[in-house]
Formats: sequence, structure tokens, C-alpha cells
Amino acid sequence: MPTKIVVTIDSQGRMEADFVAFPGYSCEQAERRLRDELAHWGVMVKGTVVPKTEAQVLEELAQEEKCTARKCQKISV
Amino acid sequence: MSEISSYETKISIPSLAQRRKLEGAIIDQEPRAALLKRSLELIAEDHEGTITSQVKDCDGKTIPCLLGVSTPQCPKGVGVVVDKNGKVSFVYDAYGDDLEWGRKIAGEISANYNAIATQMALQAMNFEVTTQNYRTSHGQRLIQLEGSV
Repeated sequence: MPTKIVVTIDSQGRMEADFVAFPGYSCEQAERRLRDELAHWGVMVKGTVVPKTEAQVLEELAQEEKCTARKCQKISV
Repeated sequence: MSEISSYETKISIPSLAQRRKLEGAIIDQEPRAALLKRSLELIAEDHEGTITSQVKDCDGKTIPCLLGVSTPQCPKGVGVVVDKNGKVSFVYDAYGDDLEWGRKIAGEISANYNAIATQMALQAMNFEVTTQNYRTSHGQRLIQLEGSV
């Protein structure tokens, strides 16, 4: 399963970042790097990091196998 | 170990701290200023509004700002201001704005800015980025960016 980062931003600018399939400490490094890159663009973030449970990881793997495609409108950024 | 991070965000652009207007060379010289302007332009496109250089209060008086956006739902406008430390915030007159359009538009400007910044950040991390715009069943707008290798 390839690594990916899914960032969801709500209508007030709050962000949630989902780090998928990062092995070991590479996840923490990716999270730190994302924060640094956002700071470079002037976005200062403060928040919490919660490791996924084994059940969440297994669910991700199962969803990946299903390959369910979601159809959505694309934003113009 | 995979993880989920939840962030409250603040926008900070120290180079705009002494500025009165967002125009001219600063847009070309400061990429974050260009990003801020683009965030307002997206609001104008989404809400059929216009970019303005000032916003008004309920008495018609001008409220100083770097740049603003006026929409049919919020005709007095929402403006961007930057304090002496570079912190970006928004000004609007909430009087009579029972549907809180001023607050909603200010939030959407932040969301647009954060979305474009996240796109840049993920690209800098060598991810291919796709961006999608959702609406929840409650009508709330969500922007989702996926960075994959």
C-alpha cells in the first residue's frame, strides 16, 4: 500500500491530516515536515497527533482493496 | 505507525506587517501575499463578489484593510488586516449580519489560503496532489487534498 497524506480543511480553515501507510517513525517525520512546509507558507499550526489503532490500520487496508472511487466536484486552487 | 493530526491554524505574514494596501510590487515579491490575494479571488468567484480595496461598517464609514472582498450576501465586505507581528486576521461589521456571512466568508478565506498552502507543502514533499471540494449533508464546505507518491 503506497504512502499518502490526506488533508481535510473545513469551512473555518481547521485542518485534519491523515497519514496513511507510513512505516515506523517515518510518519512523525512526515508530520513534522508538513508542519514546516506549511509554516514556510505562513500557516502556523497547533494541534494534536493521534496514532492510529490497529483496527483503523486494518480498516484502511480493507478499504484500499475495495478501491471505492468517490465522485466529487474539483476545487479551483 | 500511521497517525491522524488535527490542527487549529493561524496565518502569519510578517513582511506585510507595515503595509497599508496589498497591491503593486509586493504581490510579485512576496508569494504569501499573492496566495492571500488568490484566496480572496476564489471567494469572489464562488460568491459572485468583487475584490475591493476597502470595507464599510453599518454607518457607511470605511474600515481600513489591506484588501477586501464584497459579496451579495455580505455587501459591506470582509477585509484582511495584518498586525505588527504579521498575524493575519479579518475585519467586517457584524451588525445586522444575522446569518453570519462575515464570519463565514472570513473562514472561507482562511480555508482557501490553507488549501493552497497545503497543496504547495505536499508538492514540496514530492507528493502528487489532487484537490476536491465537498459539501457535507449540513451544507458545510470541505476541501480535501490528497498527496500520494
